[in-house]
Amino acid sequence: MSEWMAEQEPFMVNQNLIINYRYFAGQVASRFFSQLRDKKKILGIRCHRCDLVYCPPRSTCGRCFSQLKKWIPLSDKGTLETYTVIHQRQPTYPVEVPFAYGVIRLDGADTGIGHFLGEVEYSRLHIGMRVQAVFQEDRQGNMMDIRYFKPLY
Amino acid sequence: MEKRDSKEFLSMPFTLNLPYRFSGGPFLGKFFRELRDHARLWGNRCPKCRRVMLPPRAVCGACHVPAGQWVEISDRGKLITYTVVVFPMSDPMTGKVKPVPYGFGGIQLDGADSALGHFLEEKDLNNLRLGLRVQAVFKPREERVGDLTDILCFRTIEE
Repeated sequence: MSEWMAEQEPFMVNQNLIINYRYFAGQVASRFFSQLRDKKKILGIRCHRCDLVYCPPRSTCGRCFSQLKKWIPLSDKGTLETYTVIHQRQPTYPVEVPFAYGVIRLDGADTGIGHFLGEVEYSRLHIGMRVQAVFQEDRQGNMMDIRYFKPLY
Repeated sequence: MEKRDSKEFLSMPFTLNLPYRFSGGPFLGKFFRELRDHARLWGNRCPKCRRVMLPPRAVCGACHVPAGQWVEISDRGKLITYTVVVFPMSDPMTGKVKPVPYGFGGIQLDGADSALGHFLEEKDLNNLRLGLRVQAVFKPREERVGDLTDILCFRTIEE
């Protein structure tokens, strides 16, 4: 190693990337989000060939590639399939740590949605726990129209 | 639920704020430290092809040999390529939208063989041409933080 290199102190460069973008929900997700916003209803969509109900809904079945048309109203209650409790702060998180996050399979659906878990004692979280959606008062037509899922102890 | 599909199409604006740090390492570290503390620019020379690289690199990209001695680079140079930005876009480093139109150029500083991309101060965009002489405008010492924004822009000079 050259002498000048040995004398160098570490030098950290601080940067801040700010990315402005717009997410276009498309036909299927637009309907899902507008029902959340206007009626506090969570919709799934059924594949008639696979007899699978997707939530969040999608336009094409991931298994058989059928076009999906059959909308199904789902319960606001479901089962916790997996979860984690986050303690390490990251700048991209929309909420402060600690917080719990999980995958919830709503009653009537075959797939899970990822969301925050609120009003929760972390020590009592477990797979299979029953949870219920808590909606925002001021809903904007996006996934955060559900504030979080709370446990039904 | 067999109504017609919703005709409302939703879209959502998002702003992702992504602060991050990277280690400058010995080469960029020296470059940014000298820029911040003394408003000086340093490149380094490839011992094989003799070109002077700015910003400095650990290894010459053409010859794949470790870079050699440090070379101080002038704050003056010439425009070797440029474009006029007329479509407003956010600066990825600050997130702010710079008022259009403005010039952005590749500047070959005296003593360097590579070009540095930066904003051009020139207001009369018709004056932009290849070979135009420009000089770096540095932020005052107390505002310099050790990255490329320590250079505000390049100003057209008469020589």
